[in-house]
Amino acid sequence: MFDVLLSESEKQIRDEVRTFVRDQVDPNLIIRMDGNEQEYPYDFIKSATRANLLGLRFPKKFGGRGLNWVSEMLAIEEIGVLGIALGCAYSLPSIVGESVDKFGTEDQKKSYLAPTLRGEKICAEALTEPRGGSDFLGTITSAVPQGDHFVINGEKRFVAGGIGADYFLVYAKTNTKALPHQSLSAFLIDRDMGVEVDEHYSLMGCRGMGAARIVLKDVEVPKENLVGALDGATEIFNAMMVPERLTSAAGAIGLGRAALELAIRYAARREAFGQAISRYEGVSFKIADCATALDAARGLVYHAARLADAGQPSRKAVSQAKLFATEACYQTVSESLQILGGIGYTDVYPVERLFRDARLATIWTGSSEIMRLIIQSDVFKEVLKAPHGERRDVELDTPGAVKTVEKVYRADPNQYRKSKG
Amino acid sequence: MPIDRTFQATWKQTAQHQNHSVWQSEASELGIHGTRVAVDFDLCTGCLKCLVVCPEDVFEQWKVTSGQIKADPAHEPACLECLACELVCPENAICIAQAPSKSDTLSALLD
Repeated sequence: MFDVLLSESEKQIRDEVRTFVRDQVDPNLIIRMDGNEQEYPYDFIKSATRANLLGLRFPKKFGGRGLNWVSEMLAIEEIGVLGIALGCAYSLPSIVGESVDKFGTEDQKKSYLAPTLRGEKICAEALTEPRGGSDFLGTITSAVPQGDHFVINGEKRFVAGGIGADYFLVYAKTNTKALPHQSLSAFLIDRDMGVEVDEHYSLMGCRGMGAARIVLKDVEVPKENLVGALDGATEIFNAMMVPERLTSAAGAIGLGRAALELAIRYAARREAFGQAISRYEGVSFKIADCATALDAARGLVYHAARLADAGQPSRKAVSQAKLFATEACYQTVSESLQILGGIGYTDVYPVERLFRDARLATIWTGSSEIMRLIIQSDVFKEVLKAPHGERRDVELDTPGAVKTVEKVYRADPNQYRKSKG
Repeated sequence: MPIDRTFQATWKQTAQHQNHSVWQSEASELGIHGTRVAVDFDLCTGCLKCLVVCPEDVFEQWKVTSGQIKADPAHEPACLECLACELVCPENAICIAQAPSKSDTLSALLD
């Protein structure tokens, strides 16, 4: 349905990725990952690299294709059909790459961004700490300058892809006196600089991507591995949240679509009480609602992507896209499972796996609650701080606004009382 | 064109193969194999996706005289009626005969 809003080149990349997903991804890989038999999808990254599909919007000289945000969202929606784990593996070069491409030195781009897009280095983002993920500015991992390097101490957890990562983008506190948003710095830290990596969690879904816990004990990181300005990580974080949340949103649409297409095909064939179950409104209206929710999510995602392409502020739009698309995904997968009934609760169909995946989408990369916090904050500012000339006279549109008499019920209560006579 | 879902009423049962029936119509060359799990051999391209998704291994590869591979419902009594083979078949060559149901049982349920 969105073809009318897309350019020819955008449609081409979508079709190219759709073909890649269909022809070059081994379905057994997903099954092995979900069965915890594979800790990182190296083969998938190699396939995507061979097809030159990683980091589509980065400059060609570093291995990207110089495409726009909309193209990347189209690609990730197609990858999302494979589930949240491979969607994450595909998105991480885009997320971590954003920090290096936008804030990194030329050497960092050559040493980290380019090999990442060639599939030679696996990246991960180390943001969440045991104390929490949403409170990013409360980060307590520390980096202390010492000669020509920083000494870093701290712990990070739920590092998606951390098990397979060759390097990490790590946020650490570098200034204990400044305000929170002026106190953090970002570092590129190689695993072999002394990062301890292990996997402590058995995940409900998103399996095979290795949700690692990493420990940094007196890890010495050269000063040239500082990304951007000292104490300047807030700007990097804000920039990275655009690909992080938009890829979460677009991938979720693909995931939901996969479940919904299965449910539609099943409902068209499965019979109950003498007819296909698709003929019952209890089923067909679920499909109508889910299809509408996914299309509405697309509208928000591509609107936010167009804003990013135009270089305009996109925080509210990105948060709305992430909130709505991931909730629509969860609703869609849940309803699809309901339509499949008992067989949907088995592993005959992948819907139960997608259900477990979808549950994560509303939690990670900024939970739905954090998205609502951001959205309400930006909406209040938009309305309350709008210049006087841009304000709409809401009051004058109210029919009763010109009445001056207070609207109080003034009937004499005695008229309802029995007279004593 | 998908498999003729009315084959049990409109086609003729002409032979047995691997313990299942083979059905023929005038227009058919290779016929439909199976009854509960029916595969139209003229439509089947031998992609064998149904073998991959079937949780009960109902299908076996079968080479017809021309050398083409077909998905043969050799173990159709084991079918769970999950419909996964029907959904994945790119040629709509498979028809699972679901146990018959009628609207009057729904009415009875609600009365």
